[in-house]
Amino acid sequence: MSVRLQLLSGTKVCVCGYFNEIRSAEERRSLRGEGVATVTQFFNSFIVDNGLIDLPLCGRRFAGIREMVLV
Amino acid sequence: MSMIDRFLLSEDWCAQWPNCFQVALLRGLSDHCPLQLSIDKENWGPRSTRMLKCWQDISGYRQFVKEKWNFLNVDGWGGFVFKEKLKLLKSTLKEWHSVHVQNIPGRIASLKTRLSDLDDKAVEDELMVEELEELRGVSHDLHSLSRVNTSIS
Repeated sequence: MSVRLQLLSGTKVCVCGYFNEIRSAEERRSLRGEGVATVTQFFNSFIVDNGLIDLPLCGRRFAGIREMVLV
Repeated sequence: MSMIDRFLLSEDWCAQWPNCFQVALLRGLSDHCPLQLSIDKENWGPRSTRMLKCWQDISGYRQFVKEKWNFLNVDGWGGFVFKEKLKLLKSTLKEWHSVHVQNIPGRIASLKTRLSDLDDKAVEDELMVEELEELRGVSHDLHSLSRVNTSIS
């Protein structure tokens, strides 16, 4: 993916979708209150290294509630 | 609950559309909330309170605003009170507008009819004091409504 993004450098790029990764522990909440989360630096460096801008979210705080079902 | 869906944008994208924002919508049946990326070229922020200049031409407008303003009771610091009162006044003015400013042509027509009835009567015999009063009122209203009509149509 980074290779494809490098080819597109200097153009208008929008990458969107279900990354199944979080950037920090605050981005994951379990309903039972335990803040167990694994943050991989990989996703953060992917964003930073490719010069991408992570747009803040308005409206509902969390986009996926998958974990709510699984936890 | 996790923030595992998102939009990542390149610098060039943001330079082209600087007012991008993403909003999470209600999820409904899915276990993900739909994310909506909006490009708002003209995001002016909250809508301002507006007034129509022609409102001043309608009798009772000033009185209405004065009464409503004094009647509204908001607690807080000055700036907040002012803002809230303007907001509340806006909604009452909306109602006032629909009662007083709608169907202007129809109301002008009925005033004209009444005026002509009174004129006809005045030709035949003398008008009573009340009728003279009404005649003055009708022509005053006709003038102000006509002004309103030309300013908004």
